[in-house]
Amino acid sequence: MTFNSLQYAAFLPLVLLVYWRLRHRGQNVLLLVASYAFYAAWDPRFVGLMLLTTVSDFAVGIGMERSTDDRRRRRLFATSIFLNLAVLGFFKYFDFFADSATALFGTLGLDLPESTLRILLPVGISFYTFHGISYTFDVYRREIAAERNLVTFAVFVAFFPQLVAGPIGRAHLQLEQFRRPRTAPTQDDAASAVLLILQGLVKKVVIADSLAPVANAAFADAGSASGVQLLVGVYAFAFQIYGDFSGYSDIARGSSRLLGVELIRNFEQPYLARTVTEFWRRWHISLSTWLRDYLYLPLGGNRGGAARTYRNLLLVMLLGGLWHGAAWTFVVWGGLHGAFLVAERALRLDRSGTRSAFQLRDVPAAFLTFQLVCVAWIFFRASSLAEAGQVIAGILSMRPGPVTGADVVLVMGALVLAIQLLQRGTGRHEAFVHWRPALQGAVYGTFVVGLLVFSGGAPAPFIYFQF
Amino acid sequence: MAILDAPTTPELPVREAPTTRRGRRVVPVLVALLAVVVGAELGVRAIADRLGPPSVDQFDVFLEQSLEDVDRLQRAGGADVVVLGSSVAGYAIDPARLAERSRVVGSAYNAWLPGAGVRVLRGYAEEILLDRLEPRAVVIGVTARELNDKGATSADLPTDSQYAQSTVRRGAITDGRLLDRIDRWASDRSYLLRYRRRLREPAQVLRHALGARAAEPADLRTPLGDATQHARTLAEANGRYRALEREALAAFSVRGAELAALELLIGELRARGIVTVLLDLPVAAPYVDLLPGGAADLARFEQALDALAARQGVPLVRVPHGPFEGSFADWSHLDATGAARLTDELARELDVVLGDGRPAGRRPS
Repeated sequence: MTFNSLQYAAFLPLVLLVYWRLRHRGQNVLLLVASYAFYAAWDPRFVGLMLLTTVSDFAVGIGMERSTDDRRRRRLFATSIFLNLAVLGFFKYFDFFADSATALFGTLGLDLPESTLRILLPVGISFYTFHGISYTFDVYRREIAAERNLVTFAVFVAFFPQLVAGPIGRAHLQLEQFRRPRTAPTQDDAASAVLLILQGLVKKVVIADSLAPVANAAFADAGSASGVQLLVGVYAFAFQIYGDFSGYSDIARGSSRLLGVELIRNFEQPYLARTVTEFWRRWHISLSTWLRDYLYLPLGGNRGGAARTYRNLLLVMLLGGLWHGAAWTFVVWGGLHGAFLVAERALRLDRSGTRSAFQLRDVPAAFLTFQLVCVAWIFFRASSLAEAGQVIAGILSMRPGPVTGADVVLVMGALVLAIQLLQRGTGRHEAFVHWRPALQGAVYGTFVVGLLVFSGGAPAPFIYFQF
Repeated sequence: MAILDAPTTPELPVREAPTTRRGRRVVPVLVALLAVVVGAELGVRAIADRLGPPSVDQFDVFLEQSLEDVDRLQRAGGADVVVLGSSVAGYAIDPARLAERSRVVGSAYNAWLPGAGVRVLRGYAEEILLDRLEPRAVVIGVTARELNDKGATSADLPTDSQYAQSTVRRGAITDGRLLDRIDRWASDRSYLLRYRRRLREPAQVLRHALGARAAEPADLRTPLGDATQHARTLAEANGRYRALEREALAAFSVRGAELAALELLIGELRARGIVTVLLDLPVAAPYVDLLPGGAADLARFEQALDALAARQGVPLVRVPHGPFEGSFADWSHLDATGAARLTDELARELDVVLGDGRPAGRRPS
């Protein structure tokens, strides 16, 4: 059941219809049932796995809170982190490390038997294990109280709007919202929620799904497509992944707001960033803040001098890359971003931290940043390092040949930039909600026309579902 | 990761600022929304005659045109004989001539689809053709390519899943999902929906809006007599057509899914009481060179077809290749002369198979 499917269009209203008739505890029970049903609709075999990590984190949280012995608390903390990472590591990375080890030993002349165990990746595992780790950390640091109600905690871990592709939930922000009674959304809240959902659908169905064939064709033909075609394909993917992932986040936030729960903004106009450093303040914010709080800061952050800071930045970005998928392409993607961040820090290039307005003089820096981000996207999108090399070689050699799909990339790219400029200008994600009624109606009408034009096919899965 | 240096804790949930009163004026918003949708609908209607066929995928274009033929024939009472096959069958059998030369065939329809293997043809026959045309006999025309298991995937030809996903097909099957039926109903009424696939190409839409007219696809759908031109057109793209044929014949194997689909199709036709005739379509000598195993592969194909016909108890029409040499537009598509000769042969065979005293089929008005 994807957000862009008819099943979800029936599922959400049905949940809402019952949800607002219930009291607080009943609402949580309903959310839990709905979330597990939502997850089981993907693959019921892995429901037990999510339940296992949930119960384990719940029990560890209570154990840590009750204990006054620091060593015991540390042991419990380590056990919980180990279990979460073990589950994640086994299901997500077993094949990757087994194949890499076989290949490595093969180059050394040692033939290891190839692993025949092919592990299925449970949907959303990267997200819900991070929910659990966030909770364990926060309880261990005594930043939040351990949750005593298993249903409440299980809802925090499995909350269906954010279960399979985020935004990654943070215990100290979200758990509290499940603990206290929620009030029904006001008319304004409901209107903005519906608009977020509509806008998310347009980003996914109109922008991302129309760009996907252009990017797919270019990467599939990386060895022989023309240089300009490959460049068009890379730009297509850059806009596609923004439309796909930020569209998902919009729908998640809109759905959640209708349930009286606020999720954090996951994107803040990333393609208007003037440095890669700023890009990471604006792209997949729930992941970057998670990595900051639970990896970068525990590693020492920027407190140990320049060399240690650079090491920490690189390490965090490499692991951030690996979090996306068990492949060397993601490691290189993360490594490239780490290198960009280190370079910007060493050269003191990032002075954009507090200034949010985007001005005309920012265009060259934003353009350059976008190119750097696109170089990294090549590795993110390519199915192998060899394919990424072919794409780069094809672009650099400006191999002659025909070009198709450039018009789609131009139109959709302009649409993406228009959305981001509007959001930056108004500070709202549904920027047009302040406009005159006639203009608002024209925007909604354009959304409806866009959805009609791009309707009719089977719903395409969201890119981040594979992570 | 610069956000790591940001002094703040993770973002607090951001509630949007309340909207102004203006934002609550629902009626003007709805009026403007409707105006845009109606404006878009009228805009598409204004340029629809310049947009070309509603589908952009060539397979869908053919399928759509074939469906129009089928619907027209259905209204006229169906077809006595239906020919199934790829473009090779499409160029080889002239349905009008077949009805004219046969004593027992009242009407015929050649339901060929470009590049279609047996799995695609089976789906098309079962879901659409047989119910709508109610034929007495079905002629299944094949060459080695249609029975090659990896032909469709290795040469990027239509696969059964592409057929299943085809919007034209989904719109056409009346017993399909409710959503498909609603979609078809809406597409019949709204140009915005009917032409949506065309509208996804902004540069083309702009060209048409400025007055440019789409190329007519009719020359693709009316093959007879145009086979030479067709072959020339395809061959012009640096031998792409030849390469495509070679890819479609690579890893040649006639023991798998395509042969199984043919067997199933024959069984299903028999269950419906429809007479089946297998037609081994003649190919030119250069075709044998395109097969990886040459003459041995062709022999394997013929043996498989013989065995299947014997197993299923269906007549197999195989004409001597000699008289057809010199009547090909390329290595497999017959030209008009060759098509006339093969159609006459088939008419004679059908007279034998169907002509045991049964009345002639319906002839469309």
